[in-house]
Amino acid sequence: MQRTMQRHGRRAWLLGAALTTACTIDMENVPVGAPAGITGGDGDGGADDDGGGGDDGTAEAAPAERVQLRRLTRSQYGRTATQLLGDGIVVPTALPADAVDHHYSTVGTAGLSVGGFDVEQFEGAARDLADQVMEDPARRDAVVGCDATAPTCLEQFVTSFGRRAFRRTLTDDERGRYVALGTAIATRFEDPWRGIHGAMIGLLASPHFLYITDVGESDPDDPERRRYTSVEMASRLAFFLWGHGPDDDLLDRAEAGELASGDGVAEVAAAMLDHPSARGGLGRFFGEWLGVEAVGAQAKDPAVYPTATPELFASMSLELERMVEHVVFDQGESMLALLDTRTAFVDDRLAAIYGMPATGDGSMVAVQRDDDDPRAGLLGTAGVLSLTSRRARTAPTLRGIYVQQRFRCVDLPPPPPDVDVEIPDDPAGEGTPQTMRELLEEHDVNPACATCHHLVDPLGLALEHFDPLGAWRADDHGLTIDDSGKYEDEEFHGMAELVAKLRTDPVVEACMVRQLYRYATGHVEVEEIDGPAIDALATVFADVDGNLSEFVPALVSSAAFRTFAEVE
Amino acid sequence: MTIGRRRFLRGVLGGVGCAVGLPALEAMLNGNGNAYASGEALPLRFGTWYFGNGVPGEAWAPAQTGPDWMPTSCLQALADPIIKPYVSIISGTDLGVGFGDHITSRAVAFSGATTAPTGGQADAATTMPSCDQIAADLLGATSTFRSLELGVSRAYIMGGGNDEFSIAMKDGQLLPAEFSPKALFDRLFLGFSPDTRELDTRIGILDAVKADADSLRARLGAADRAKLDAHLGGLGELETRLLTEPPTCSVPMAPVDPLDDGANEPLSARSRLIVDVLVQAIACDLVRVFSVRFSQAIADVLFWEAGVNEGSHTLTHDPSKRQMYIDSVAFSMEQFAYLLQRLAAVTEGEATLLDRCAIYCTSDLADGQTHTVTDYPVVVAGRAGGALKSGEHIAAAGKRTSVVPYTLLKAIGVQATSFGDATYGATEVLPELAV
Repeated sequence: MQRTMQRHGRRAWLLGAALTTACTIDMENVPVGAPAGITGGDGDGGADDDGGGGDDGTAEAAPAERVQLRRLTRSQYGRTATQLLGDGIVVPTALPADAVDHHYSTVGTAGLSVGGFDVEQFEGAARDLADQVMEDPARRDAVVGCDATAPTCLEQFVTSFGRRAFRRTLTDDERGRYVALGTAIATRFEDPWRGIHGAMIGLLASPHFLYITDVGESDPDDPERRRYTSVEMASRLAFFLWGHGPDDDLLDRAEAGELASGDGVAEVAAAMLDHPSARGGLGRFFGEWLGVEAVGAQAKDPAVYPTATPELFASMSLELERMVEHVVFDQGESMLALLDTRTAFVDDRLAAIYGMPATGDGSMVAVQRDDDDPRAGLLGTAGVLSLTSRRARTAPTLRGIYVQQRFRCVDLPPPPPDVDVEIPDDPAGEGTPQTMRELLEEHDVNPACATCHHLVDPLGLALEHFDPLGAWRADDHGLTIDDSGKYEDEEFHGMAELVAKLRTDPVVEACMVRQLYRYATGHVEVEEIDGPAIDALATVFADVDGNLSEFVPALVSSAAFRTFAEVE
Repeated sequence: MTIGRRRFLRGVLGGVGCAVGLPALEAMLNGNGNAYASGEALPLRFGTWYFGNGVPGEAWAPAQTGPDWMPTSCLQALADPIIKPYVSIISGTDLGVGFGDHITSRAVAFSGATTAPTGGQADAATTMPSCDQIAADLLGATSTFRSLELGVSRAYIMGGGNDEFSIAMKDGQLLPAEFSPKALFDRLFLGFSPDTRELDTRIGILDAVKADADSLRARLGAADRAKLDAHLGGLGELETRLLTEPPTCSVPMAPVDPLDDGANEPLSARSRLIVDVLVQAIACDLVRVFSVRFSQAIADVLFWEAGVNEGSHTLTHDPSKRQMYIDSVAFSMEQFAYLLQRLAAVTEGEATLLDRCAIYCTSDLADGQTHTVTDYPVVVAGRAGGALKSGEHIAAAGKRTSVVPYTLLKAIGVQATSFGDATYGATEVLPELAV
């Protein structure tokens, strides 16, 4: 063993771009930890965690004050602009950047403030949108709802459009302010439409539009917690389920107090899932969870993979979207079925990778995988397999990280600061081709590396039959592939067995709940505070067999979504 | 600066896209060209230029110290005889963090302070401001734009989403960066409205928005109040800018963004266009402080123009591709050199813009292969109007890296007695660099 390590050490250093510097590499790509003050809570938190997650230091970390203002993400802004101003509105691209944390723009962006450049971009975007509305008479009439030359039109517009933009009825002050603004502008330009236009810009540039407000009120049922108001709940639900703000009907129900109780929320949420926006809105969650956008933005080494064009990566991301849509929405199956579905979505480009016949017309069609097809579900897609590879080689570490972070909610720490980067020199190893497993051996034998890499490498190594584009390969450049892996210290072989383990692991089930919770609330759970609620939700998730349309009403009507702990 | 520029423009042109002749400030200078006619000193400028993933140590620092340094493979571009006298290579400093993890070390390199590693990129910063933002407090207060944050490569950390943040840090956050030369141009040169009614309308709208922000602020806890304070500050800045007079210099040709097919980023084209717009903006005195994020830490930037076929982060860790690493950094330095060349080409009175700049160029690691942070790679350019020595290779072994940005800040007149925190910061300047 000692000799093996010696012999392979040097080669590991030389060949494996991602393997050198001992264990630092590939682990660096892991978004680390939670935002300051919300540390911990992200080892997978379950009793099954074998340690090594990110629980260290959790105990000392004081819970952060719950964020009360969450800036709209770009996606939320764009979808809300379309909702307010109609299909075909061109959403400005120069919008403030989102931040991403724990895979989610909703979590990262909640922590952002809006500074100088951002304010400028939002003001510019509001003017751009209002200009577009005014330039198109049909759109203008639809959005404004009255003839500006009528004396009451401005106030009527501020009242109705303002309510949709602010996601609540305006206060008298606010209504007065925007009516006065519009009146002044109309007078100055001697054009009542200019008054409407100016008021619209202001409403769309207001912090009441740009932030989701989660201030809350005292909770009569629990003096230690606050609950979001019925009106705040409308926005929480709408942005989660629809990806945009509430419509008039939802605001009516919210202002009537229907969303002050859990039962009311569950009932409304169930109806909201039938809304045409629900697939796109919830689809955003799946996209961010699975990294669909990143799949589409990949590039590989064209000298090695000439077929790896932007169009191929677009096909890969489309397959992931179609798979989610099919399993979760069309079939109403458990979210867990995403792991082992036998349905693939294939066009000619993907067929070439999957070794399937071309579909002929270039469109993407659903295909049932053969029983002897070694692929299954999400992990079997070219999208996930290539996303977790380098430009010209596989990266078992990245594949393992993907599984641990996305499906088991294990947060992996960055490499230790005292990592030993000196790897023994062994010229005898020069020139001998080695498998990825051999190259990665240093991760296994060096204790400094093994603490983390033992969590990830053994998962990824089992997928070595899939090349950097996700195509099956019988061997690795002529070398025999050993597809054995370790899942929680249990040996297994290949993708099918890994998927089977994930499919039946309660940690995976609980992780899906966590992922939904994080995206929905824009908040990474604090174990001591949110842990019990999440555990309870995991039980519900199991009871409804992971069915999203049954689970979502339970999630949003739970205390974890409707209320939050008071922090002094 | 009391010339009524807006009045002038309204009278003469009455429209957007105003033009007066370059050089912008010539008409306002005194007879010697070393100050404004009013006696006010010509402005100093401060910039940072950042490239990710460190350098190949053996091909970075010159063998010779002093003014006669011979360029290494990485530094060839800086040996251009026009800019070399303005360039100082500072080797041997120690960032002080022991082991570089890219993100924390990057924050320390620019702020002299640490951060706890956090999740999203936006908060992967320190609670202390980066040196450029300290400079902006001084120099940016009287310019139209307080500072500009710019980016060239958009390649991001896998799994990290879009990374559109600069390396400038303020209020505990990374500031957003502009990556489009065209959008930058529009923002700088076309954002002025010469029509009084339009201008008053925008101000009126911003006032209403501010009133909304004020009333919302009252309902919030401390953390979110701070968030809204930043928002209010941004609204105030925008109002102030709208009320500022538009540039008197000629508006240059609007750039066209280079095509980005997603596979090969147009790095040199985008970098040069951004520099062209930036230098015009500096020449017009629209801005005095800038930070450029040329390439991102950990990102697998593909330096295809340098003949490289592997992402930059991956190749830093592949010793068999060491030459590609060298070529990538040499390519990055070419882009930095272009900035210096452009600044040197603009005369401002008796000197050039580069004479009045203090530019700090560094990375997030020393050697990207081993993640070292000793013998940190630092280049300084410009003379800060005579307050900086230049043209030498300074071996500064035993010094903290943060002495360099501190020296530059002192050179432009920042009155602080320290920079950064007690562990990684500086309280003394680098004597070989300061005049």
